Amino acid sequence: MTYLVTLISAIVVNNFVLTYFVGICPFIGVSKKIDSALSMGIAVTFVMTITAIVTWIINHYVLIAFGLPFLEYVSYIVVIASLVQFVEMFIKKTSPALYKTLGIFLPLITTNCAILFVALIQAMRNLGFIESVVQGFGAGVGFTLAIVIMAGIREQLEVADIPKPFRGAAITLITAGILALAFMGFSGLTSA
Amino acid sequence: MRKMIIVLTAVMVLSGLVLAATYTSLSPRIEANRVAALNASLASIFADQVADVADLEFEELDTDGPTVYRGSAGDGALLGYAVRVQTQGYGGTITMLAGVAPDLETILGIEVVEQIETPGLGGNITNESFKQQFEGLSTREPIEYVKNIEPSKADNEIQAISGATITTKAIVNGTNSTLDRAIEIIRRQVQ
Amino acid sequence: MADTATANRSITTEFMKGIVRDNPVFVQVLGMCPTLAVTTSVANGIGMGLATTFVLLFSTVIASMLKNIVPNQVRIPVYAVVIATFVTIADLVLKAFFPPLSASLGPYVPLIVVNCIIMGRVEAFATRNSPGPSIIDALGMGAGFTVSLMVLGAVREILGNGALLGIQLFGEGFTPMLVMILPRERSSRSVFSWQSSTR
Repeated sequence: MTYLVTLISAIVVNNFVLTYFVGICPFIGVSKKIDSALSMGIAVTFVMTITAIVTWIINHYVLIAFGLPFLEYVSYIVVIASLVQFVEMFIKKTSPALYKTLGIFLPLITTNCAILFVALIQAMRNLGFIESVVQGFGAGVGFTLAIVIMAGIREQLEVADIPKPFRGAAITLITAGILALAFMGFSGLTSA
Repeated sequence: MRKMIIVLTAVMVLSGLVLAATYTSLSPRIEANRVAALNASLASIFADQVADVADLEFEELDTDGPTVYRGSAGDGALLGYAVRVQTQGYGGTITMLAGVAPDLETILGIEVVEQIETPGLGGNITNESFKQQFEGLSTREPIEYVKNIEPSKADNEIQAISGATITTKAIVNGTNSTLDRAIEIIRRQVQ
Repeated sequence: MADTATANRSITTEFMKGIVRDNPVFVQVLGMCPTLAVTTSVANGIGMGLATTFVLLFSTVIASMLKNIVPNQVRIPVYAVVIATFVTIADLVLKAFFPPLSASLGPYVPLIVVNCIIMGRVEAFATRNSPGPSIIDALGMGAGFTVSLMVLGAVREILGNGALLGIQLFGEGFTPMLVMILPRERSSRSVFSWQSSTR
């Protein structure tokens, strides 16, 4: 039951993009079309889930076991960079079309704050193994949710008549702000 | 290929050494900061019991459950125990300390250590007026909260924060369950 | 004489571009994560800005010094490790000497590791220039970032708290717009020891 709570919490209540404000770069960069947004979301969810697993193992069997808390950030980023490298090679081999759609944004998943945040949260809150995996997966689903909603809105905005000063980054950020306000409605859903 | 591995390994080894050195030199200070902050929170629970707060001494008990601190005065007299409570509030996790008297029957008070509740609403749990309500309550029955009516100390009641029922509920439920477990553990240890 | 004048002007231009023309936050739209998350007050903005500038400065200088030694295929992991090292140092220094600021900024300090600004400058500038100009570029970008965070922090602090740098500006009658300063996740390891918080 607690896993369900963790899952829902990670997807809507504490949505990584709209509540914690991580993963904003790809959120703004890849949300122009629903297709690419969905692909990005799936790739990120995959990387996040595996990151949760690997960093949990490293945290408990290396960092805590040997008393090396100062190696936390370095080890996490090495894990994430390698993971993204593998995912990139895998996608290139299995689906060249998808590889081309995601383009430059695939390697950029490495610098996606959200992935590192998954690793940090698992350590900060001292989650158990399964809870950590659920958290990572839920965070990815939440990210996908946010980015797909954003893409849907932006596709509509493409054909709207926006005043000149608001075009581009401005209207995107305003939309993101309104989305974040809307998601505040989920606050308190998973309290004691 | 070989150069790649050498460079990468060299960088990582260097990074590890630099960080180990920095950590070793700074960690005593970081630990001192942490202890000072912890002692400040613990002191506020026992502040009424001593003339000089500097006399207080704390010792963490070895438990397999909630974290419990034993508070004593400078002369060794037992002042009570402080239990760490963690509960899910409205905005996030609330971390607080609940103090109990040496007889394990009376609550000395609470101190909120960390919270990210809404400022002005749930955030008011850090106000003296809210925290004081817990002083003198009993551990023999669960604490309850009431809304819109005067709380009765005899019935172990406190007044909920207006507009922040979820936060109040989190604190009350968390304190009840954690104190129950902690008191059982303390009783076993004292015997 | 003319040469020195040109050289001086170019240093100033290099520095200023980070503040105005190529401002990382408002023009390049980089480093959004900390910008949105920690600017609840001017003090937080300054703290985060300076910490990021520290990491930016040392990372770009080291990257610039290593640019001819590091093989191309491993450059991203190598620079990532360098950046993560300086972020860890910054984090430890904050915890040791500025504990309240460290608690305020919380998990967003380690997020400096993936701050697009740092990797962006390393890739775009430091690896193509020598350490000297890289320092100026880093300081300029860092200053621009800090200034942007301060501006945002000021707006949010004034509207959300009625204060600036902790000093109350308005009287009792001012009702702050709390939505401007709603708190975010904090690191829950600040007061209780690492080992004991595993229960």
